[in-house]
Amino acid sequence: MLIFLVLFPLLVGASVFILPDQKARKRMLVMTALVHSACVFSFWKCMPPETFLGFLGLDALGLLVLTVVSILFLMVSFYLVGYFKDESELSRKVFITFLLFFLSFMTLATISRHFGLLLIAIEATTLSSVPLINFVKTRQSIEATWKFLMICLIGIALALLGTYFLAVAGLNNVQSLFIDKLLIHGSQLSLPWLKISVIFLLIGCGTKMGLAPMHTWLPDAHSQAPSPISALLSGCLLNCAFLSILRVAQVCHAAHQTPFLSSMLVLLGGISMAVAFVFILGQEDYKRMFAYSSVEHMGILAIGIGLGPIGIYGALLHMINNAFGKGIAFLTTGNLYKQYHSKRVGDIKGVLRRFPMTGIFLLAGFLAVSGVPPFGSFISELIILYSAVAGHHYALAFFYCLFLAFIFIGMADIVLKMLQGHGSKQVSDPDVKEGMSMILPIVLLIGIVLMLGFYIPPILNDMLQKGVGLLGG
Amino acid sequence: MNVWLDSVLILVIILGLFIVASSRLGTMIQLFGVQSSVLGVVALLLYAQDLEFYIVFVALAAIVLRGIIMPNFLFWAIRHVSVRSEVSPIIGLGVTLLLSALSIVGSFLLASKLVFPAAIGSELIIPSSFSLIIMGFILIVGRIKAISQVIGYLLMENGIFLFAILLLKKMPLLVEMGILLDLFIATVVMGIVVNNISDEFNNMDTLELTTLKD
Repeated sequence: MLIFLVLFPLLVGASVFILPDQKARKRMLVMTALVHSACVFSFWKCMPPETFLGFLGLDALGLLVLTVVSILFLMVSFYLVGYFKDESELSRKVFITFLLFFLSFMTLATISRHFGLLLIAIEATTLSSVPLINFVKTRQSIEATWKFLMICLIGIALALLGTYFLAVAGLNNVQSLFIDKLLIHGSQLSLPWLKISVIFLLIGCGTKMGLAPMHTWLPDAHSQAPSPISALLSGCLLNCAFLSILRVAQVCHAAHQTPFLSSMLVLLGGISMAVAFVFILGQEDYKRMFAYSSVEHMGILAIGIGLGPIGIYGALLHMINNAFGKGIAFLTTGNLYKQYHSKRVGDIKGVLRRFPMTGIFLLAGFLAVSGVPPFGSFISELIILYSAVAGHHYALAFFYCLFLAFIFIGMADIVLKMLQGHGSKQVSDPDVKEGMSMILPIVLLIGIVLMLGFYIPPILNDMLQKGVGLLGG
Repeated sequence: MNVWLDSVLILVIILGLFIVASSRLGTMIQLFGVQSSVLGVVALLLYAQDLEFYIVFVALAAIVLRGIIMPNFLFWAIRHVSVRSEVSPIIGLGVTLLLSALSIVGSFLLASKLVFPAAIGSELIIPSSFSLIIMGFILIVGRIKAISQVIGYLLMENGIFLFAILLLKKMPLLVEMGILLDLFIATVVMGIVVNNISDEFNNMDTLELTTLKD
């Protein structure tokens, strides 16, 4: 079953590339996404067994990330049906092929039970997203692609070195990089090698996750990629990198080195929030604004993981909320870009009057990513704050609230300017109407995030608790 | 045996210094190919006593992929580029060489602090691997041609591969091959992007890639 989940998108992607039929492509994309989600949902009923010599397996953490990836991908693939009306055929073919490859490798990253395989999968997601980011092939998008490629590849190379150090740490007793074996023999790992390995893994995976100061690729890639891809990068790819950091945290817990990792995570998380705050203020490109918001939220996740069991629960919940919130935000920027043909905040005014639907979505996306009640992100941010206060980290809690508040004000300033006022004359496409496929996914995502604000289903709660248990709660 | 292994490792370092110190792109690519092939030989020499099939396999795959196919592909990527040398690197060649020499010293110091928990064939492997990684970094930071940065990345990967050779018996073959394949595809993708850059900008100076900033 797990092998199928990886191979199926890969095969469909290859056949999209080979088959000449142009009309079937979108259908194949949506069908694959549907099948993928159906499989993933069946895993909530019963966990699939480990397969493929123990390389593939699913645990609570993997399942949470996999579900987020699968749902968001499904929404984006619906959205793409409408988004792609006027692109050329050839580029669409390459695009859909690599989109499916991207899904396959992200799936592989969530289900791999071996550190080497995990890194291979993460590197493969980087490589398969290159044609997606460089879709429009302008000077700016080539620049963004180059930065993304170079920085992420170097990051993964460092993480790979960290993995080898981890293998050395267990050379005399564990003799393996299988996660389960590392967890069982965690306390026998050689400490100096383990520590240097954790540093390299954290920097490497942190680069991919967009933690400051290694985040520099993220705003460029998010602003230059087509909006649905920005949503996938922000909601899925960053979470896969986050999962690899969770795996490192698992090993650290087994080796009784959690304080060592926690302090670094909290530090990086704090820097990320500060950097996001500085660059969101007065940001002129609305996609960059949401990209920096991703940096902020990755920082929040890192802080949550560093704060012990309650914080970990909050971080896992926040991962879900943030992924879907970013889905809303970036898909809406896709609608906006279609309507205004500009990414500059200054060119856009009076969205609420001109395009009420997009306006409401933009407002909802902004509220969802900035953690305003009744959206789910409010609850999860509150849980993380609680765990900071309960752990007597008052300075951390203070700065956490301060940055959250300032980022909220900074984003509100930008978003409200776009929403209010009278429709400007610069609108070059006044007749553009949002198609059904560009509305429905956003509405569904808003529904999910709203629901998580009021009610966390018991099955999800159980899974979150299990995830916390795996990380030592 | 040990003498051979040590001298080959010293050759690897000297090749690294040559790569870092040369300004002509063609020379850099060729030297990278030679260095990668020598690394394959290191793997064979290190396990010469009990050579197993998959070690030979990995070594040969490394020689063919890194030593032959990748350099040829990099030549393809720059086939339209007329200016094939670094005209004004950010860090001058002399300074680069000095930094690389310092990196070798630093690597020996670092390696003496980290005790490898098993017997290894040569004391030189870990320091050489660290110094290759640092030299790769210096190239990436110090040069402005996109292809020089690619070579810097590959030099870094060579250093990591040298370290990985120590663990060849502990790593499943699948993982080793996956990493080799990933690296190969990464090179292909980087080559294509370099090609895009040189088409779009008429050269491949990364200094022109500065429109996106806050």
